[in-house]
Amino acid sequence: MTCDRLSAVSPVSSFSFLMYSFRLPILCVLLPAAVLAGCDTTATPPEDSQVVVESYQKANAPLDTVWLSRTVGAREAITPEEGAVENADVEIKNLDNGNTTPYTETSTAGVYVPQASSPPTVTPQTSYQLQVETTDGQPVTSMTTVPDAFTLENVENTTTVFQNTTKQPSFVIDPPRAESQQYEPARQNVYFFTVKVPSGTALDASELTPFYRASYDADEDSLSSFRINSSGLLNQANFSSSGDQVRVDLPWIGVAFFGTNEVGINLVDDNYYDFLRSEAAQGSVPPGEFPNVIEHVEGGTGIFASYVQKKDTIQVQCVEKFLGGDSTCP
Amino acid sequence: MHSRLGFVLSLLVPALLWTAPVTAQDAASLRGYVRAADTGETLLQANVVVKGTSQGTATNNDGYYTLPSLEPGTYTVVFSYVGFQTRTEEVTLAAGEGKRFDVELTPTKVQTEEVVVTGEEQDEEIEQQLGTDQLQTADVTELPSVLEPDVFRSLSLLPGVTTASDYSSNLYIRGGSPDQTLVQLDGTTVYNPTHFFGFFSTFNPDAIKDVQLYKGAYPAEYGGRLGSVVSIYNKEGNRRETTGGFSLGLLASRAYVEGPYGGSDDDPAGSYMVAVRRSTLEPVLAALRSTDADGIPDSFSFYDVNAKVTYNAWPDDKASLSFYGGQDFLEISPQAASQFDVNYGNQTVSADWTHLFGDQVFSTLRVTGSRYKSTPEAEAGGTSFTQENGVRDLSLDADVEYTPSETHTVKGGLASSLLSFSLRNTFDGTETFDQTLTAQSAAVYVEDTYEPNSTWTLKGGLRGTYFSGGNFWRFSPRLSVDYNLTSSVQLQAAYGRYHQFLTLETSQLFTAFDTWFMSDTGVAPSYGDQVALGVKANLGRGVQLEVEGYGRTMRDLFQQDPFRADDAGVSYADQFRFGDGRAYGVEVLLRRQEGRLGGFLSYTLGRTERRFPNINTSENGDPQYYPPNYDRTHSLTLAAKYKLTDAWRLSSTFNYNTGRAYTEPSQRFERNNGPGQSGPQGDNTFLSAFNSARLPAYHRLDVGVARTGQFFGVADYELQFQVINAYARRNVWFYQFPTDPDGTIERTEVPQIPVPIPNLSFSLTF
Repeated sequence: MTCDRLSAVSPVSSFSFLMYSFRLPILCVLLPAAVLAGCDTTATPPEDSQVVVESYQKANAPLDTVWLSRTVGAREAITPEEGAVENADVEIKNLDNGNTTPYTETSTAGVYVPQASSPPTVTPQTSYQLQVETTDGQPVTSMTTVPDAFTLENVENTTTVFQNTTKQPSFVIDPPRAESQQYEPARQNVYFFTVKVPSGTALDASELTPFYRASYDADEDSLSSFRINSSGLLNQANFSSSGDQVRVDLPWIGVAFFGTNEVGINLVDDNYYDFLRSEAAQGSVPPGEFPNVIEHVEGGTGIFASYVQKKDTIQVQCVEKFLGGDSTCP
Repeated sequence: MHSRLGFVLSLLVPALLWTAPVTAQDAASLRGYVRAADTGETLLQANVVVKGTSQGTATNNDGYYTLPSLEPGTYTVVFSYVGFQTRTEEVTLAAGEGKRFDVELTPTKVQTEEVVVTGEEQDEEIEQQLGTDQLQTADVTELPSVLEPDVFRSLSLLPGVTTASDYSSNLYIRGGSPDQTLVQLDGTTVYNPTHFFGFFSTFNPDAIKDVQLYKGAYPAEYGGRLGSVVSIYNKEGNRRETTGGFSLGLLASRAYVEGPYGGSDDDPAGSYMVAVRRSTLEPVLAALRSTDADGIPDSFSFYDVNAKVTYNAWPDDKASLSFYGGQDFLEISPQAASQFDVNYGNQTVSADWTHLFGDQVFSTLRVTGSRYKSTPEAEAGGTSFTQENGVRDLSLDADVEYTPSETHTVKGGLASSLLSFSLRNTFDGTETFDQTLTAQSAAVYVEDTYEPNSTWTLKGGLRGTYFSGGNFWRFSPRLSVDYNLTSSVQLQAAYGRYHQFLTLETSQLFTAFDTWFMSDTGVAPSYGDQVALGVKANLGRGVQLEVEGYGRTMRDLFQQDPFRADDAGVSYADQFRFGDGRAYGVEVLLRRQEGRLGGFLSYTLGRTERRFPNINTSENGDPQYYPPNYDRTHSLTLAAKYKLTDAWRLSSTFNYNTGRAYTEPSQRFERNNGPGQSGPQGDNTFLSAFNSARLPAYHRLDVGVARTGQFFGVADYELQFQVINAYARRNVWFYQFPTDPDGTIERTEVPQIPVPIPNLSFSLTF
């Protein structure tokens, strides 16, 4: 067909001609439409409630409590009594020596503690397996390997003035060698830090440091939610090292209250590491996206983790003039 | 390595040295520039057709055309370009003559409509390549826009192109993320083409002459991105007279001046253009601050400057120097004892020299530099956080376009660049991360366009790239076939393999944190294949129909691992997660570019998916595909302009999209007893299928009216009034799931532009 012939026909008839002549190519380009309509690869949302495990085994401390509950619909209220998994068989097995510690449910539903009055002490570099069987016969298991212990060699500036940039509380630790750890896959030591007003100390909003004082809304916030301030996960490579020792300076943003604070340095196992890093991703990826947490619980979900903790107490004194704005001391 | 280099050279050298088939000694040729009559600006991709023969071509990206191997005689040559009156010229060529024939086309805006729509229009051949589109300044400025005319937002109206939200101008093309699109300004890569933290793009419409979009299956002269290319060309400046203008808008004000210099009035030595833009938000911010509203910045501003000077050294030599600089500044105190400052921007410079070797070889030598730097700083409770994020790119490109015969056009070239990406973080005065990545890349390409007759056009190309980071060699074949069933109907098919050595980390919310990373040892480049099939037809009366289907693969995608909480001490390769993706769809575009009523209707049916570890794992632990949040199944756009009278113009755009993919949490639990937890509320953990839900459908209508006329006889004015989101559609941007004081989770929606927004602008051109 020549140019002249086509220009002689009307737009409508040329469109009809187009449709008729190009059935095959049009089919080719429309084929993906059929594929789109017929192929849905989207994953199915989890609708059924799952058993939730929560337990944190601290090295060189007695075997810790196990909390058992069930997941709820995302926008349903969580009621501890209704959500508790009661009457389950719970035990923790030391995989290195084969000893099993049976647990018993306390008067609080879903809270299980070792039956023995003097439960075994959690040993560094030892693997423990949690074994749960619910009343409907559902097995739930998880295994943790406790990190190697470390020592707190020195603490400097235990009494200091808030925001003193030259006298921050400083912790010198002798961390375990990475090769002595049983991380899978291999990685460096990873810590999180806690700054805690000791239990039993009354909390006073007037003793909040300026940043937290500005964040605190008495009508909406519970002051107790500020009692423990926790960092995110931090690789050991963040800290300055001298020989085999590592120095950690406490950042002032970690201190929520003036006065006495317990600073904890926590070295985490793989379960804790995977859970916290993926839990953090639920709040950091583009809004509206929630990747699932990486957990190591078979037959349920949650966390059965272990860690090594060293802590010391510091005194933080108030100053009249703060960086980033004026405030008043209590 | 040497054997691979030899392989590339063995392909390249014969192609570049390939001589034409034996032609008659008396063969003549026609060549020259096609320019706009009113400004002297060259017109890129203008059509040049020799009537009654099979010969036709398009001007290159410098506005230059070549028609070789013409028999002696007299020809009718038709020059055409969208928005300009078609011009027909009788040209007589003597035996062996190589005639330089520069042509000027008159803009249709100074013609009446009856002249614009001519019978000849239906005879024009379609020369547009598969997957390409082109925008001119009027396309950007005449359609309604949010606060400020924007190139990227105009591109997003086209089928297969979308943005993440009303607040983001980053382009998502054919299922690709923004880093899969190569964005170039006068041949210089722009690494963060955003202002206002992503709200709109950096490109000032006053400075722009032409925008070319390759949505996919792009030719071998481009490389380095998996998906697409946006190539933007600044104006060279008016070669006829000194002109200028300024515009006052709610968000920003603009001014520009351009004109000839040196030489004579008829033949100036060259031309220049300077365009500046600055935000004018200070009064609005001051008014908002006086209301004690939360979250109002202490200060916010941005500016950009575009400048270009062109020098016509000799008839066959032209040099140009182009510069862009832009910067954004923000200072905000989110709450007491906290402060956040950020300062980010791009600078580019490009020096070009074009030279004609005889009548068959057009060459370009280009040196470019591009820099991006962002320095966010925060202070909270006496603890400081800082980041220095930088990109530097110094490149040298050489391209040759050789037209040995009427059937072959060979292009080839070399491209080399020095890349440096740096990222340094400090926390509490201590450096926590310091990484500088450097690499050299070198690419060589060759491409032949073979037109054996008037119906078939075959274009084959091969691009070889060496990337020093990780010592990678990659080869990318490209092939496209066009078949003109009639002069008005064209069938097209294309295939290409593409490699990408870079990846962009972006939050999609705040582009000042955007960070580039590159391939290196243990981080292989991404690659993918693209196929596309298309039908293009002129339906008469200036109406064009385009239907294209595409399919893409994306392999070895690398992204910063979102599950890695801290990169300190982590090897470079371990900072990433690796996955793959795919995208496929159909695009339909019905367009009328001429006449009193113009515009287009576009529709896209598409899907894009990704697969990465630990996302939507199946029973056996393998990850499953999921749609990224910019996946849209259906996308429909209607853009229309109607010229009521010579003075009044109406415009409107309507857009409908399937809602974005998002994650609707289906189950949750609380942790209450960890050593880092205070209570009384626990930390929520959601269980969900990743991005398996959809937000409500998005739709929005924007309308505008413009009046043009004479401003006291000294200038032309245009007064525009527009209403964005005319019927107040409350489109959802995303959902949040905050915990209420009673411990329950509530779903709250964060809207996109929720209310009608009026926009008033006034422009003068003199």
